Amino acid sequence: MKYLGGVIRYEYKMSIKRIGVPIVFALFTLFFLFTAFVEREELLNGTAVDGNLWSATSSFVMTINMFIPVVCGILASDRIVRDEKINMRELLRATKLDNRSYVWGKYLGVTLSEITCLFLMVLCIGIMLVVIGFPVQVIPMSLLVSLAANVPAILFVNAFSVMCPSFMPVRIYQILFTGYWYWGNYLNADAFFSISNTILNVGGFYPLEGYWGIVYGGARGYTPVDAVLNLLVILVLATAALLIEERIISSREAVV
Amino acid sequence: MTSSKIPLRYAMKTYRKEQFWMPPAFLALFLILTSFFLEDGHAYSMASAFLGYMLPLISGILAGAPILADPALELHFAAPISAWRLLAARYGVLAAVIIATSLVFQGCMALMGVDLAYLGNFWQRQLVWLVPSLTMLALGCFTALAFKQAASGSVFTGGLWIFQLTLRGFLLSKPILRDFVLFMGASLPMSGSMLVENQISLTVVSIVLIILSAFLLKRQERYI
Repeated sequence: MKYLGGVIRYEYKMSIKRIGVPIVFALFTLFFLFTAFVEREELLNGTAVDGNLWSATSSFVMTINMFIPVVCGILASDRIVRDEKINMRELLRATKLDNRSYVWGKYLGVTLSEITCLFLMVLCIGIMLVVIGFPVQVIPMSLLVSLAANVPAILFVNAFSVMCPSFMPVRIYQILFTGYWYWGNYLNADAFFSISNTILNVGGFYPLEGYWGIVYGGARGYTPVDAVLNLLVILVLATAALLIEERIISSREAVV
Repeated sequence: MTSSKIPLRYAMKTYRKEQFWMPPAFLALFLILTSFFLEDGHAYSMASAFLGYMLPLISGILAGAPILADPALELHFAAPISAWRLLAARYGVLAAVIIATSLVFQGCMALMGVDLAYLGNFWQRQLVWLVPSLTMLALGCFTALAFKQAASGSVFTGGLWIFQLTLRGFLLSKPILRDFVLFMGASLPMSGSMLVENQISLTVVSIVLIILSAFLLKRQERYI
C-alpha cells in the first residue's frame, strides 16, 4: 500500500502539472459558463415549467460527458508508454514496486487528477447557475450528478487508455478512441451499427434516467437497477483492463 | 529539404513510421466499411465520413509528434536548419501522406462506382477534406509546440474534433461560429458562399497557426 500510495501521489502531481490539463479544462469551463449565461432565460424557464432542478444540472453534465472523457482518455494514454520511452521502467524495476501497484498507481493518479479538474469545472458551473438565479442547492446537486455520470465514464476510458497503448501505437489508439467515443455512445443504433443502445454505453444516460428519471434525447426506460448494472459493467471492464495491462507488463518483463 | 545534403533513405529513417502507415491503414478500414454499404446506396456517406471527418482527425492527432517526439531532436537543433525548413520538412511529409491517402481513396471510390459528385466538382471536393485537414494539422503542431508536449497536440485536436462533431448543428446555425466549423464542407457541401467564407476563415486560421508555430520553434531552448 505504501508503494501504491507513492505512485498515486507522484502520478497525480505529474499529471495535474501538465500545462495542457488545466488549459483544456479551463477552455471547456469558459464554454459552459458562457453557455449558462447566454441561455439563462431558457434554463430558468425550463426548470420553472417542469419543477425539476435536476434537469438543469443534467444538461450540463451530459454535455460535459460528450467531450471531457475524450480529453481525459487521450491525456491518460501516454502515461505508461512514456515511462518506457524515457527508461523510467528500468529504474522502477530496481525498487520494490510490484507491477500491480505500478499499474493501479498510474491509473488512479492520472484519474484522480482529472476528476479534480472535473469537479472544479462542475463547481464553477454550479456557482454560475446560482449567479443566474438558481437556488444554492444546485451546486451539490451538480456535483452529485457529475459523480454519477461523468466519473464512471472517466474511470472506464482511463482504464483502456492505460491498457491499449501497450499493444498498439499511442497515436492509433487516440484516433480509434476518439472515434469510439462518438460511435459507441451517441450514434443512433437504429440508423447505424453501434453499441450505444447496450449496457456498454458510458455516456451517462443510464444513471440520469435510472436514478433521477431525467430523459435526455428520448426516453429509454432505464430503471435504477439498469443504472446500477451499467455502473457494475463499467467497473468490471475497467478492472479487467487493468489486470490485463498488469499481465502484459509482467509477461513482457519476464522475458527481458 | 534535408535530402539535399543527407541521402533520402537516411532522412526517411529519422521520420516517425506511424505517419506513413496509419493513414493508409484507416484508408483500408474505410474501404472495407464502404464496400458493406455499396448495395443499400449509403456508400457515399462512408466516403464523406472518411474525407470530411476522419482525415482531419488523423492529421490533427499525428501533428503533435513529427518534431517533439523525435528522439534526435537535439541533433536537429544543433544543425544549421531554420525553423521554417524544419517545419516544412517534418509537416510536408505528413501533408503529402494525407494528400496521397485522400487521392487514393477517391480513386478507389471511382473504381467502386461511388459517386462523390454531391461534394461538388473535383476541385471543390478536394477543398472539403484539404482545408479542415490543414487546419487540424496546424492546430496540432501549434498546441504541441506551445505546450512543449506531443500529447497536447492530440488532446486539443481530439477535443476540438469531438466538440465540433457533437455541436455542429448548433455551430452551423450561428453566423460567425459557422465560419470556423471544420466539417462544413462535408455537412453542407452545396452551401455556396457560406462554404467559401468558412474555407477562407479556416485557411487564414491555419496560416496564422503555422506562422506562430515557426516562431515558437525558433526558441529551441524550450524543447531541449
